[in-house]
Amino acid sequence: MDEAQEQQVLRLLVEVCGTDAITSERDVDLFEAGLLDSLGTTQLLVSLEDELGIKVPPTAVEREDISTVNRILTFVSERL
Amino acid sequence: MIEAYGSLYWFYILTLVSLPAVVLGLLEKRLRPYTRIATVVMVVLLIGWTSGQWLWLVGFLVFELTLAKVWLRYRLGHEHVNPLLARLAAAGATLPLVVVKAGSLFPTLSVGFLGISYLSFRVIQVVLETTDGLITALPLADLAFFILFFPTLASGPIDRLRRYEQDEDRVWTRHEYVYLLGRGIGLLLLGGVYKFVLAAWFTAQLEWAVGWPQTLAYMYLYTGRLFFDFAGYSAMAVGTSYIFGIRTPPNFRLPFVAESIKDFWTRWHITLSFWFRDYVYTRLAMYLMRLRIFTGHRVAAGRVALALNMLLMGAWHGFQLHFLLYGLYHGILLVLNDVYEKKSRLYAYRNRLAYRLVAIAVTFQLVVFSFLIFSGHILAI
Repeated sequence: MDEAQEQQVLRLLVEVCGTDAITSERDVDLFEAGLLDSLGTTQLLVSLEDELGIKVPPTAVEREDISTVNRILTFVSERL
Repeated sequence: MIEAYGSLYWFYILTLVSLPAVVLGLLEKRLRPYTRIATVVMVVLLIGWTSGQWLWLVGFLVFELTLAKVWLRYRLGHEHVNPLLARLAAAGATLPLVVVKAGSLFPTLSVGFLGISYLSFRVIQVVLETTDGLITALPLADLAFFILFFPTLASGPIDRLRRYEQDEDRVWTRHEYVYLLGRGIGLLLLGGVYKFVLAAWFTAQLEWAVGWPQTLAYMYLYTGRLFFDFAGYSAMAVGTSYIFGIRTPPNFRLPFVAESIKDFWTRWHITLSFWFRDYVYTRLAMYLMRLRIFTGHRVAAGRVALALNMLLMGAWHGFQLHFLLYGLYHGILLVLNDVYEKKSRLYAYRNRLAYRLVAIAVTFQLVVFSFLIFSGHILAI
């Protein structure tokens, strides 16, 4: 994943979570912090598919795989 | 025909049927072959020969297994799935449930069989995950015994095939099995206290009457009964599963300390709620988010999906008006919950103790009121 793609994912996440604090706290559990939920996850999946062409069936995503910003970045880079 | 976890007779039979599993488990043998024999015996006892239910069950199985196999065969032969066919497959798997739910509106008809909803949820899940390419093999017996697994036949919890198979394939070490057995017995005891002591107590107090104090009392007592009865059943079903080496996921996790309605649905009838989340809500939301009218309004699309999802969950309890209202009420609350989290400055204090205590109290009141709707009595006031 290059710098531009990482920035793109971070921008999507800021939009979904509603705060840019997440870009500096990349190991915070987003579900526990109340920043990500089912609606947010769905938004993220649709955005990843539309903007980066990553198509993931919803039940193929475990919450643990996408619980922090760093994990989401890993998740995306593995599928690009 | 006997009621699951409902009588001493059932526990007598359950003990007899469980003993060989315990011996095999302690000897570090594979539990699967015996579990399947036990399932056949118990399904016959649960469904019975005298009513016509077993005919419905056999018909259901033949229909669903054929559909699942045919659909997998198509799926394996096609890189890209025809979306119309995918919807037809999902609709087909849901059809028996819809027929039975609609049939239950007519009291003179006797359609369906014990556990049809929970069995349907398991098949629908398999069909959708086949569409997604997550399931690539479906040996007929494996699928049939996953659907029929007797501890959870009557009312869930709803397991997932891919998770279930991992447990089923395992041969537990003695150390691991002793832990499973201990936990299983513990859950059976806990569930027994819930169902036969606490739920029974609430039921004995329960009397419907119109008037403010009486209706209010009914609301809390009904909630108590609903929780202890179903959480008791669920704990016993999970406990029995553990004895057979299957770690069926729990249905309840302290629902009355939920700090929001959203939190509540991760604690109450969890396997149903997560089933709806994964197989209805997410898919519906993704579909709506791509519609032209929701361009640039993905959050709105997600909220519409949320409300529809809960309405459908209400309808699953039955097509009667009070069940639909119950679903709609929770759908609206979940949307308001989302708006609140995104807009209110108060939400920033969510980790403070005082906030959490108030949030628990408010959530509890909203929830018990939903069960008053659910009870069906409120429409008669």
